[in-house]
Amino acid sequence: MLMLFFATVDICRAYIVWQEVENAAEAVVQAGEKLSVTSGQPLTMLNSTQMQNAMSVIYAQMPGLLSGQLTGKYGVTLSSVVYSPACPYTNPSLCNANGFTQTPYVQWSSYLQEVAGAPSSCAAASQLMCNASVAPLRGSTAAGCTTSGTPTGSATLTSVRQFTNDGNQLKEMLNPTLVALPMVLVPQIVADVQYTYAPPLMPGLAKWLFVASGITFHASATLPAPLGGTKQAITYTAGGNASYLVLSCVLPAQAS
Amino acid sequence: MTRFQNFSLGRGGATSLEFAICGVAFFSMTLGLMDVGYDLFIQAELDIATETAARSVQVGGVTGTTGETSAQLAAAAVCPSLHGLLNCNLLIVSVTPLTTGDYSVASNYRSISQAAGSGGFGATGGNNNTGCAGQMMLLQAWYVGPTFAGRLIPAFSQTYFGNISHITSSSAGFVNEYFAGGQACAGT
Repeated sequence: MLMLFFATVDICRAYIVWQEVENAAEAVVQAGEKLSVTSGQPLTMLNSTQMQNAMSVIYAQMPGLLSGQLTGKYGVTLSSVVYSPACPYTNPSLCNANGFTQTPYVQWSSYLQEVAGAPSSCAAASQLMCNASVAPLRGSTAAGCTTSGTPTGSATLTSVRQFTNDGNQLKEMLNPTLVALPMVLVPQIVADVQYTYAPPLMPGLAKWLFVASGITFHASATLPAPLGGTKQAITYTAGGNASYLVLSCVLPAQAS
Repeated sequence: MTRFQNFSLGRGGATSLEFAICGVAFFSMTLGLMDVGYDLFIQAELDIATETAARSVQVGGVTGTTGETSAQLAAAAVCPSLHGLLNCNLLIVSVTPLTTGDYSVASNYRSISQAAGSGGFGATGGNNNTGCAGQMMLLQAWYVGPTFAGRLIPAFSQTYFGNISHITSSSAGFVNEYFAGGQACAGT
């Protein structure tokens, strides 16, 4: 009966944490988008400090991380992803109802550093994403955290959302009235939040006693840039006081 | 056969005795599950209400000058999203802009006593501020309600103004929108 009791608590708590992870992803990407807005200027730029501020929203959304109630590993990554359609408007013959895809390219990416100041155990994660921009990311997984070394309890990542086989977008792309628009690359800001659940009761026995222990919750959220035209991406500009790693990647040549 | 031997060999009342032993554990388990379920329900409900309230403040749906009380914020922002079993009068709400650092800075968070003020439940819990456009904001909410287990096991509960209560908390971080009429902070 006690086992049943603990299992019930464990699973219910896991559901709530899962919900918090999803809320955190939405909140991080919203904060990133809003902080990129500079009042009075049609620019959307984030510097290192603003990225740090945006990603730190996870502590407000999941207060247990600061209070010690949530003891699992967690990570946040904020990226700018540019989606390039496989069938540009100038060459609609490349489109067909079953084969339309948008290929994501990572423009820049930054990950959250732990509060204690220890570098992320996945220092190569952002690099993996950047490297992946050379070879287009496909599928739901952009890059796994395969960095070597001993994990110290911080970020792992990640995936980016991908829109595939969207018949409605295909129709829009083929609409002659859109031919005059220079819409080729569609910028998105993407937040990935990950938390590996650790049960609140008797964590030392988690491997044997708890049902939900070790499950990694991952949530990804994305928003377009708030201002500017369709080509206005949220860009990274060096500055601020944050010590976060930001890698800018070379975008592929614009499709024509 | 002695009286003791008769007693030891008798089977009458065995079922009642077994029920007395198992029943305590069974009913404790049942009530415990109900209590845990209720507690988690409060947490989920408060999280959703907090998110909704944060969004409302973010887009300028709840605006005010410095000094709004916890009760005013609760009534305007959080209570409309509460459903079912939660009592709005047991809510304490705090909205403050971040003035230093980011959300990882513990000093940016207010304690329940700071948010409630000396009168409790927002009677004088002032210094709330819905901030200006583009400002990083922190919304915190506490639900102070008694639970069955909390009364039985005081170690699992806290006291609030002398009453044993179970305090459920939730918080949300957000950046205010540049909504119509919203004044941007100086320097942004």
